[in-house]
Amino acid sequence: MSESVDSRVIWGAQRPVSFGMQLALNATMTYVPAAAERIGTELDDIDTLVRTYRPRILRFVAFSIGDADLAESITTDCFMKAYNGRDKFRGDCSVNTWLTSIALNLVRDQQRLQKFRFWRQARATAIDVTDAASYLPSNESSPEKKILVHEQSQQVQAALEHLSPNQRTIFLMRFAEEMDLQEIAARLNMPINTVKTHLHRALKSVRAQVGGTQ
Amino acid sequence: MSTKTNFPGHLSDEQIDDYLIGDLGGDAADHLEGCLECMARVQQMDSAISSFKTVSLAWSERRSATMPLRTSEPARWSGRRVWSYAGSSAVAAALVIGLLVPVMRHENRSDAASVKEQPVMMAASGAVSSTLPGEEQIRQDNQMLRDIDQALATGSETPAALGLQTTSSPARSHTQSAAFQD
Repeated sequence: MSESVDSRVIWGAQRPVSFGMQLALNATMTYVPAAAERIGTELDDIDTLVRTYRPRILRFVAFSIGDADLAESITTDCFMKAYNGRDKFRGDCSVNTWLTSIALNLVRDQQRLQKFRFWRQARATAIDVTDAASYLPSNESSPEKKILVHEQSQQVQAALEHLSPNQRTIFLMRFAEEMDLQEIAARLNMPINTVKTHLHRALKSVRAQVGGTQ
Repeated sequence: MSTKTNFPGHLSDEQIDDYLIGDLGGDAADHLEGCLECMARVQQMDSAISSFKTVSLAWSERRSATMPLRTSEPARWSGRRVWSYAGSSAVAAALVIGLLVPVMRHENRSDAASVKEQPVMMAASGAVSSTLPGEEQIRQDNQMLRDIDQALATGSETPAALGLQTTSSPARSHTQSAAFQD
């Protein structure tokens, strides 16, 4: 048998392999791009990037600042920044976390700007989740369940409105974006105990709205 | 982890929150596994947060679907940003006009001044006739030629007086000078 023969054939001649093992072997030998390479390709395709991550980034921004129109602008800026700076992505976190970090910086810039504005168009384009409740996934089909979900959602949203910007952002990072404590602390450049304190205050506010003990 | 307890024999609110945050350990975690009451309190909070996540994501998915896919300029032209861009453009236009008007005025003034100064300069260089109209120029030239012819005809220094022979009649020079009038 010559040297150019497929190694699977050689192995097959030496010892018989089961069909399952053969499939596993084939899968191993198939070219699989490295994680960083796959992410790089993902970032290069702006349309796919936007289609995949925009709803989550828009939610994070919208509920951080409480202004739907402004959230759209910031989300758009976020994706422009991410696409233009995709070479800087090191792959040490997920794409969603990286995009959230970019969005977070833009939200903070906006909050700083708002602080110095004499006129504040408070709730000019406030988020209306009442309408959104009718777009719940089909598995929430029971009318009672829909009403409950709607009410609970409004209670949490009401609680968020009473939080400080930091508390609100950290709550969203932990419970909407499902980032862990270390990741949040690293992204915010904040001690982990401070992150916990903000989360405790946020949850206390949520509990007060939900109707738990207080 | 907080040790404060609101419910004797059960987890405190802070401990419930620790669990939700992902920071509950030790005896409290063991208690939660076997306590239905504490688990119900956890689920009450968990359910509210899950509902918020579901509804807010449904909202943002719907909203995102109405936005243009390409994150280019059209998306920026929405809401109050239009007014901020319009304001910026107006300020920029005012600045450009403010800068251009003095420059143009200065140029116009320079042109007018050069027109006024030109005759003086021409007079100084002895080229006054260039500013006169064309017919006047022809009239003066003809007059000059007639004066020359007259001087030649009446003067003592005629070709005949000098002993020179002429090949053409004196009338010819008159014909030549008349041609200038055409």
